[in-house]
Amino acid sequence: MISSTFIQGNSILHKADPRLKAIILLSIVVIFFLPLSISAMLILFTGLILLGINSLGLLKALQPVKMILPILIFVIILTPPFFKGGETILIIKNTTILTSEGLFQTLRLILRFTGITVSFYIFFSTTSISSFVLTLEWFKLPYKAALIITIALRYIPSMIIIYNNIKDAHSLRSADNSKKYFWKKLNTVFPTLVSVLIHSIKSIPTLSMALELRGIGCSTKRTQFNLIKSNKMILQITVSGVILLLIILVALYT
Amino acid sequence: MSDKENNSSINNLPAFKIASLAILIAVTTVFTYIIRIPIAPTRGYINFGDVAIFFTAITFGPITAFLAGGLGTALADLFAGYAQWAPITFFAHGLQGLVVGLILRKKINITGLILSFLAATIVMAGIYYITAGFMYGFGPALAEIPGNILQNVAGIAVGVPLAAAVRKAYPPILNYKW
Repeated sequence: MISSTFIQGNSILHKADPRLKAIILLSIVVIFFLPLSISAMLILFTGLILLGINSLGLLKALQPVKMILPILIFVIILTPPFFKGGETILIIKNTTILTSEGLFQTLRLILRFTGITVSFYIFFSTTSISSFVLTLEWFKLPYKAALIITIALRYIPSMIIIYNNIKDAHSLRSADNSKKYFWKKLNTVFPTLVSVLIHSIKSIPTLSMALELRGIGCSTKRTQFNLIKSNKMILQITVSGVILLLIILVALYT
Repeated sequence: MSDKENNSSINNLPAFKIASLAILIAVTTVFTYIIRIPIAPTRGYINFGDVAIFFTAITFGPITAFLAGGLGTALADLFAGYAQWAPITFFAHGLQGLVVGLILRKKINITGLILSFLAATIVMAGIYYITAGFMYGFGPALAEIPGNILQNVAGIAVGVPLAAAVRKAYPPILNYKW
């Protein structure tokens, strides 16, 4: 059992090579930081949303936008006062509230942040976490680092179960978990945290021994059970590279 | 061989380092993602990721705190659906753990605690402010600062007593630093 944000599916993005998707994700982040026009950003953003709808469905594709809505409201409220250039659009009681530059910058920041958020969301919803770790390894992440992440991912669900069991055990011994606010809640949570930490730390020597028995720490190169297949990757890279280049050129000159 | 010698030889093994990092990353992720306490006036939440980072920095040292703090909170961002923050979180919380670990490496006293709190807050809130500024503007990014300071307050207020309580209840942990 490994924790994941992966959503099962059969779309083009689900089938695409994860290394290729990682390269495209990084390229999209870079594109959103280029000095693009609003219309170019809007086209790119719409493309991303359509890709998201195709891969995950409408509700799932819009989920990340819903999650960052409070930040977007902050952007709408707090960005215009910092930009006073251009034509005045809105004045209230002799105070300039919105100028054309303020509007442009607000839209640019909203599209950039939302675009980056949606891209990351689509990537991790269509890429399993084990494929992601293998991709990192392919990008020269050391074997030990990949192993640490894999073990941690394997251990997270077990630790959530341990935490809930210990919390329930403390509740049975009259610790009131229904307290609502910080200090009262903290009083009941603290002993649970101590127990969870001791339980987890006690498992370190056992895990170390298990790793030692499997030869971790030896200098010889290790073989791997799971590998990413390289079928069609060169073709996919070429096609995606051409599409990305076209997007950048169109975006820069729109 | 005494217990202390035995433990110091164990914690030099690559397997021990891998195991302790993996477990502490999982601890940090669960503390960040699962354990949340509501704050009365704002109806917001404080997560316990910073508590785990302060605990790791004090108990296991700066390098472990850097890696476990950075990766643990980055994974929590990933699972919570805020994957766009994960790379930034890795550096913000990783460096936060490193700074706390370096300051509190030798001795834990009031001066050290104040210094570590200030340094951790500046590093963590500073990295988030600068990166958020580039992503969605420096004005809106200001709104994140109070929350980040509050996280550090919770980190030091709960993390330090937690480290002391765990050390008292499970003394072998004293030899786990590497």
